[in-house]
Amino acid sequence: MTQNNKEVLITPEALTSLLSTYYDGSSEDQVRIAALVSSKPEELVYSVLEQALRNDADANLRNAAMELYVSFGSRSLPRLVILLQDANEEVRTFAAVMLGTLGDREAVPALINALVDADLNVKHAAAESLGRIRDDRAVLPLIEVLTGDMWLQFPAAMALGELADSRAVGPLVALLGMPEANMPAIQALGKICDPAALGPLGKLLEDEEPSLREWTLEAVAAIFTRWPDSGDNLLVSPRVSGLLLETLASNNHEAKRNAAITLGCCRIQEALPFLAGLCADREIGDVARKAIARIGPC
Amino acid sequence: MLKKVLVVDDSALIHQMYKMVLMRYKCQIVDALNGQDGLDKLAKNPDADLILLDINMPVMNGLDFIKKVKELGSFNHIPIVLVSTEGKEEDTMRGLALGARGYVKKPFQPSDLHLLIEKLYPTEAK
Repeated sequence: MTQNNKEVLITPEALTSLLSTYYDGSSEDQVRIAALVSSKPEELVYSVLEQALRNDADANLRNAAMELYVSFGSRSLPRLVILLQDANEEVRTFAAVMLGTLGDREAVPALINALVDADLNVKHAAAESLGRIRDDRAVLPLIEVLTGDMWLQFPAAMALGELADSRAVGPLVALLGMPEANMPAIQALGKICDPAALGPLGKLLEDEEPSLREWTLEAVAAIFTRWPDSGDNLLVSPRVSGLLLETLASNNHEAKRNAAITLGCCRIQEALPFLAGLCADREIGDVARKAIARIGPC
Repeated sequence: MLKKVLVVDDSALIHQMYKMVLMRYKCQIVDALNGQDGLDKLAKNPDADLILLDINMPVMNGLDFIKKVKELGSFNHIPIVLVSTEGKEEDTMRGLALGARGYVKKPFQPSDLHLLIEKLYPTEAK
C-alpha cells in the first residue's frame, strides 16, 4: 500500500470503495483491508460500516462490513448494541447475528432484551446468539420464550442445549410431544446430559418416524456415555428393544454405536449374542465389548 | 416424488430447522452454506428434486445462484423455492423473474412450506 493510497483512503467514499473490494482478493488481502480500515479514525470507520450494513443494493459490501464489525472485536460491541435497537428490523437482526459471532458476554443483557423484540427474525437471531455465547444469565429468559412461535422456539431450544443447564430439562421435555419443536428439544436434552431426561426420551425411541428415533437414540447414548449407571431411568419396552437390536444390524455406524451403548447401559440380556457378533467390528467392537461387560453373564 | 432436497442457506441452525420441517417427506437433505457451495453440491447431486434457496448469503447470494444455474442449463428442471425476508419483495420478484418457482418468507410456518412443496409435488400431499 503506497503512502498516496493511505491519504486517499481517509474519505468515507474511499473507505467504502476499499470495502467493496473485500471479496475480490485472497484471505491475506482481506486481513490487510481490515487492518487498514481499523487504523482509521473510529467515527469514520463505524460510519462507513454502518452505511454499508444498511446498503440493500450491495450484498457483498454489507457482508464485508459485517465481517469487519466482528473482526474488530469488543471495540465494535457498543456500536452493535446500539444497532440492536435500530428502527430497521433487518439491521437489528444483523446486529444480533454479529453479537453472537463476536461472542462477548457483555452483549448478553442486550441480546436477552432482544428476545422480546417486535420482529420474529430479530428474536430468532438473538436466541441463536445467546446459545453461541453460552452465558448462564440467558437460561431463564430462553426458557420463557420456549412456548412461543416455532421460529423462536427452535433457536431457543438449541441455545439451551448449548448452555447445558439442567433447569431447562423440564421445559424441554414439555416440547417432546410437539411435532414442530421436538427435534431441537431432543438435541438439547442430549447436550444437557441429565439422566432425568431418559424416561421422557424413551417414549420417542419407538416413534414411527425413523429420523426422530435416530436423533433420540443419539441423545440417549450421549446421556449414557456421561452417566453409564443411569440405565434404571430408561424403561425399555419390547418394541424399543427390538428396534435397538435392528439398529445393531444396520449400516449406520453412529446409530449402531448408540444402540450398543444404550443396550449395554440398560442391561438388555437379549442383546448379548448380537453384541458378541460385533466384537470384531473395527468401528464399534470396543463399544460392543463394553456393553457386554455391563450386561454381564446371562 | 420428493427424494432429495438441496438447502442453500448460510445458517447452520436453519439447516437443522429444515430437517425437522421436511421430516414428513422422508427425503434426503443436502446442505450448502452459500450460492457457490450450492453450485458445487448441485454438481454432485444432479438428482435433487427441489432447491430451497436463501437470498441473502455471503460469497454468492441467492439471485446470483439462480443466474448461474440457468447459465449451466442442465438443472433447469429442478424447481427453486426462494426463502426471502419480509420487506424484500423486490428481491423476491427478481428471483421469480429469474426462474424461481415459488417463495416463502422468513419467518415461515412449516405449513407454508408444506403447501408450496405439495403444489410442486402433489403426490407428497399428506
